[in-house]
Amino acid sequence: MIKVLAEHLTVPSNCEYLEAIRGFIKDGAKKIGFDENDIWKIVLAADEACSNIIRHGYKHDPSNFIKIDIELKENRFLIHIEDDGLMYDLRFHKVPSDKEYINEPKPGGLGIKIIRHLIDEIDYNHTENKNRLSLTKFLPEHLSNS
Amino acid sequence: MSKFESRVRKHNSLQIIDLIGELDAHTSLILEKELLDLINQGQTKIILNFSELKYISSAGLGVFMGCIDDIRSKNGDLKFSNLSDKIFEVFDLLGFPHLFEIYNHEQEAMDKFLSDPNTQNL
Repeated sequence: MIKVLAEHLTVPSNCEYLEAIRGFIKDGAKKIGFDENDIWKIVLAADEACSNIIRHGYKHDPSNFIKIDIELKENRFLIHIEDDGLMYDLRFHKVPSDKEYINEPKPGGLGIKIIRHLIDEIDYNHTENKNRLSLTKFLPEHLSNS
Repeated sequence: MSKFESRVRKHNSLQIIDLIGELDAHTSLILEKELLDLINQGQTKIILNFSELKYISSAGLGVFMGCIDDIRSKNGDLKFSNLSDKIFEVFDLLGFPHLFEIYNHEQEAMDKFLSDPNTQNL
């Protein structure tokens, strides 16, 4: 098993590149040894985060970039996503309850709910006009101890 | 570019859309156009068959949210069939089973439309 992982991907802020982002994240999670279900969760969360940046942070302006770093730090698989778009801390996004949502369903905000459900920890920093979102998935016990 | 394709089959007054590949914020535009075209043609009784869909993100579900009010206001509906466990998990997480009818098999969705008194000429 690979115990050290640090890889980087930079892509234009265009939804056409979401497939490449998913492939990059999937390869990294596979190298760590996550099972198929965890890989799906990690990939979907990263896709949702990057989609939100492209659509809301950059407002679909394809001339910008998204930088993604993945690393393994002790028992944490970390995905760092950096952009220069509008500042947004999704940790404080008010996700409607199922009841509110069903009574008044609206598109938007769905991705944040998915990220919160699938990812173990979310961190966010805004410095020097850059947003840095970090998504953490803890390694399962059998991988942490090997 | 993400691989996604939708194929429309017609069964009397029902429109059945086979979703194939990966549905994300990029490819969901293809599906959105497909659905809007059908609605504009007055075709609002639609079954989406997920048997060949490998992946969906919230953007795909957003397409259904965006058009369902219009479809139901025209006595139509979107019904879903053949979802994989992972795709159903995304639907379930976002409360979609409370908003949409989801069936194991396409025939069940067709039968439900058939039993609807609003569905004519079948």
